Amino acid sequence: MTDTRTIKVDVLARVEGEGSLYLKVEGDEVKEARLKIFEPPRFFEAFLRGRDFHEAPDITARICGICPVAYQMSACHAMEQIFGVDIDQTIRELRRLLYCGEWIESHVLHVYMLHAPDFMGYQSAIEMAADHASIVERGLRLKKAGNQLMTLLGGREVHPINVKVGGFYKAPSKADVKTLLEELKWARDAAEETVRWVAQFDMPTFEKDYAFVALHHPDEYPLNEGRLISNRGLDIPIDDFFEHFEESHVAHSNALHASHKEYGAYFVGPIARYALNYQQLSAYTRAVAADIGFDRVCRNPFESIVIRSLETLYACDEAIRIMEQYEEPLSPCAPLDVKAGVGFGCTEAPRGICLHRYEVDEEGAIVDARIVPPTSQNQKSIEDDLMQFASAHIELSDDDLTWQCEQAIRNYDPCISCATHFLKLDVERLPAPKEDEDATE
Amino acid sequence: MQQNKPLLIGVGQDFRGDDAMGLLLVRKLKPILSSVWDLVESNGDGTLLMELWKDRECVYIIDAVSGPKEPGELYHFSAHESIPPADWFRTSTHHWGIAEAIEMSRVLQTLPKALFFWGIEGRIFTHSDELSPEVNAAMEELEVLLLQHAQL
Repeated sequence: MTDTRTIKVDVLARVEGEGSLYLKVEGDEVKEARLKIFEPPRFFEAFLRGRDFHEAPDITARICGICPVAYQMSACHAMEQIFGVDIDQTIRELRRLLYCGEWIESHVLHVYMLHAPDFMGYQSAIEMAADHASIVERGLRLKKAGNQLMTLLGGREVHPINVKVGGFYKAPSKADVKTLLEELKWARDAAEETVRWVAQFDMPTFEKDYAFVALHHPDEYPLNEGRLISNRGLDIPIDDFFEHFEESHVAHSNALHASHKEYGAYFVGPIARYALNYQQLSAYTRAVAADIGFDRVCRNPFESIVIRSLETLYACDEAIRIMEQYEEPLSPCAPLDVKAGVGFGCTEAPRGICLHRYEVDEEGAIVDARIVPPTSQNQKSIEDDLMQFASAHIELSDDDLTWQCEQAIRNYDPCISCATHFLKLDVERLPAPKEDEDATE
Repeated sequence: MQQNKPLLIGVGQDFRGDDAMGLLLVRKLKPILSSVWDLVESNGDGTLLMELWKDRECVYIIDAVSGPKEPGELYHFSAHESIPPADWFRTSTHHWGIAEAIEMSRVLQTLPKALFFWGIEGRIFTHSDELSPEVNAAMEELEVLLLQHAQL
């Protein structure tokens, strides 16, 4: 008779939102691995219908408290595509600066507070701080540098209020930008120390031949613009997204699962961006990466903490470049010629591509909206990782297997609140499988 | 802001029903208390809270709570003396909210000498821009208590 083990974590810790892990093992074989997302859907796409186009950046920013800029930028770009707006170079640079603030804030929170304790052998960052106070203090100050950029450009740290379609309500003065420069230079040093710190961690042995998908721009590491490319030969304008990717409901998740129509599961986020855009990183970042042996494609998701730290270093370096060259624009916002149409925006949230598609009428009212956040795109990869990782480590005790599987989920820095924004949930058509009853006992 | 003035932090979200309580009470008290206290609003992000109370001697935090009491009942604890139950505050991003910020500050020795928490058990935490009647009534009670603390 075959022994059956069931590993359950009813509420995942150190991820954003409400999700759980379910793993079913029969003998030496993992039969099932599920990232169950039970946070309720929030219907943002429905809220947007009938609203004026200029409300989209502020409404969608509310999808997430940790990556609101991603939603604002994708919404702005989509509307600007519809209206044929030409964005001034200075405004474009300010948007990159704002996005750098979000990357620093989000990546540092994850690296120091959520992910590092896994590698250091602690249950939480608070436990870690008791033994490594100076490291945690460095992380807190580094995160604060990101918050300060967000406040400078966005008016406040969370849910910025200074972003609008066409640019900003107000551009910062040159003097205000200069006041943060020294702190960002400290942050760049601290980010390099962070890279060297996390590069020493013992990483579980695990590799997969992932299908990486990210934006790509020939001249810069992708934040706001680019074509969608993959390591499987994909190279498309963002407008063609739905011709190549599809979303579907699965019974155990309140978030849509996205997949590529040919190769199924795909991987978005830092590791994918890094693999597809290494040459676009700053020379400084590439030099540090080479020095720690990461001038290569990384296929171990546990090493995402190193890539996230390298991206933090890049964000600090890029912010300094923009701040040093900053000249106040003649106008903080481009004029808009409102007209009916369909537009796409796709930008690189800290966790991966965040795609928006809008249809507006001739008055600028939103007729239809679709939003594809990064976590819904990574769900299938997370579950595939769990299957493979658990199969390879089946000899571990339940406690150790649970701990490492939770860590495998945290590799993706999933944002479950983002993933449950979607429009349709047909509960009647999705009867719960028997395993669900086991998992919620 | 003067660092030696007591600081009142109202925590919450405007569009989450009773969770707006902390923000609404700070807005109400600002014209009355701003001569003797600093008053700020916060979304509850733990790292930002730590920045707010760093170098402060006396801090008051007010927030809606999802705990074991009946809607409208008050909570109070002195965070400089006791550990708050983390599961009262399960709505913060990445679970890094008030409880974690208090404990991290305690470990890093940046906790104010006096940090008082006042909470109200909420009933509605779904999308809404209105307080429940229970929390509305309790908010008046809490207002009186805070004015007593400010000796006004």
